[in-house]
Amino acid sequence: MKQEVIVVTEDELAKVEESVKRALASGAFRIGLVVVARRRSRGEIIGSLRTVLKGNIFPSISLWIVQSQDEVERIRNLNLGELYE
Amino acid sequence: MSKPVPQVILSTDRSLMTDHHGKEFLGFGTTAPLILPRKFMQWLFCPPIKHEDGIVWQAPYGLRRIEARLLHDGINAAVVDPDYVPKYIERGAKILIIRHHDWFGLNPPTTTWTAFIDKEPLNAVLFREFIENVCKLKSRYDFKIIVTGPAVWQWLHKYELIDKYDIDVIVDSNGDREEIVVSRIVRKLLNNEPVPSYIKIGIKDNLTVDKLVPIVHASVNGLVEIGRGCPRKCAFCSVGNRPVRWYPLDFIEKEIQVNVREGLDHGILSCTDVLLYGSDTVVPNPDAVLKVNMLAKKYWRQVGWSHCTLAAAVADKKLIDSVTEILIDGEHQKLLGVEVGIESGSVKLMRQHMPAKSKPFPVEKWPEIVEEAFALFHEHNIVPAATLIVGLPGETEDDVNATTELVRRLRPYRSIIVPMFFVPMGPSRLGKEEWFRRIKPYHVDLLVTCLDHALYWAEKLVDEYLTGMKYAIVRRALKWFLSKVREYRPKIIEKLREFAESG
Repeated sequence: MKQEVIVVTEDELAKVEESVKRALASGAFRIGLVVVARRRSRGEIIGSLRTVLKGNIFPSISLWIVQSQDEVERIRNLNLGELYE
Repeated sequence: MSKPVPQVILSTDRSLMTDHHGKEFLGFGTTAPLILPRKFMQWLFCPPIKHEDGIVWQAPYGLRRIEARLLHDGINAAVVDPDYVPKYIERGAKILIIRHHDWFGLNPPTTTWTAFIDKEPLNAVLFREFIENVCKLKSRYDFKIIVTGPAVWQWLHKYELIDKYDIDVIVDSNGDREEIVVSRIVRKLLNNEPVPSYIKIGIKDNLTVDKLVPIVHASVNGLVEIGRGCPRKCAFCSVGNRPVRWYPLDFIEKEIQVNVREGLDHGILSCTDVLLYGSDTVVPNPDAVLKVNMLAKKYWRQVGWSHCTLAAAVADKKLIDSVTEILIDGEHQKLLGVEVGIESGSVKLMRQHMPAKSKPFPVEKWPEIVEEAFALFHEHNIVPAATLIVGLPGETEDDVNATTELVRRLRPYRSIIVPMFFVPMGPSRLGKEEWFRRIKPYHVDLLVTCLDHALYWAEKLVDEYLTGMKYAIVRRALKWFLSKVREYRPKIIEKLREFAESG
């Protein structure tokens, strides 16, 4: 299955819904969503993404909340399919 | 030598870690607000389950499924009574998996009650106390919390609690492939690898039957799943998004045998429509349905069904004759309980949100199908616990009145009819709609008609549902509870009217 990783900062969460739609349109069904956050808590970020996470039945989405670019790269290199198989 | 402490423990609060006195239907009482003394309600609806050093005898099926997968994957795991969770964490358990159907009392039955009764629902109270007790331990012990199950979307509405209770991972699975994903997350946590904070399993990642691992210990009231998905694909429901898969008989038999081996002489066949077991369409496959029921009856004295559809019953009336002949033996089993969905008496709303619910009959015939099925069930000692949805998007006064009229016509038939306020549940097609919170005066008629129907039949059914000396005290307590509801009926109506007028 095609996977795609979307990376945003905690100030760009409003962009996520559009990015997920684009990823879906390009055929991705497993989306890794990486949020680089230093100020906002895990709960706040998850709550802000409610419209993306709730009611969307098509993509599998894994949300990773990280603090550094190194962590972003680590997740980019993961095989997201491992989580589901 | 003592057994090694499980690395992973699975649990939930008392509203689910119970066998409801062996009577699944009593479980609905846990969604009620605390209108009577809490100790009484807790004892009546969710008494503690038998256990050995906290390892429970029966556990919710979803937890058993995850436990089986973890053990299959070589991870030492066990389902633990909620009162013993702190003890196991103190002993060194590294991961706590919690599964629930209604974490904060936001699901349809609970929100319906609490919309006009200003008291917290029992299940929400029990979960809050359980999680607060657990998260206190986070500062003293190194362990992770995973929350999972079909209702985790509720955390998206209570996101501040993710931080407050220090939840590490949320698995939003709607039941599908949940056990595999949880197992993968557990493995990563045990290996100190990064894990996502939230994982949502999409429709293409559904579970194929070959990946199933049968449960290895008893489930609450012997419930075993016989399939997943639903062909009717109603917009309000999350289950229908998934493809239909029926489990093979040998798999079902293994799970029944586990329950029998651990002492259960009764059980429940669970899926969205037991009457469609083995069918690729919306018309029953009688041979398959009879086989799965014969299999269950071979092992169990009493067999229940989780759900079936009214249209499937009407589509094959002979099947209802044959299947009840197998199950209702007159000695151990006199009734067959099952949940069904009426949802609405309005053809307009049915066409808009669930046009396939009436199939193979046209949607225009829906009210007649409901009546016909109820009559058929009554004649065959099948007792439906039916749901209605109040406040579906697009609902008008005429739609509500049509439903009220239908409920009135169902009065002669042994049943309970439960109105539920519309809730935009997680992965349903209506998941982004608004919650229904404010009733109007015309809703009051419907709610009171349902209340009167429920009281009329519940009072008659108590003696048939709770038979024998074993249930003498529960029977008496339930009758007292019902008498209190009857006593409060005028106040309930008054409160509903006030509530409707204030809206």
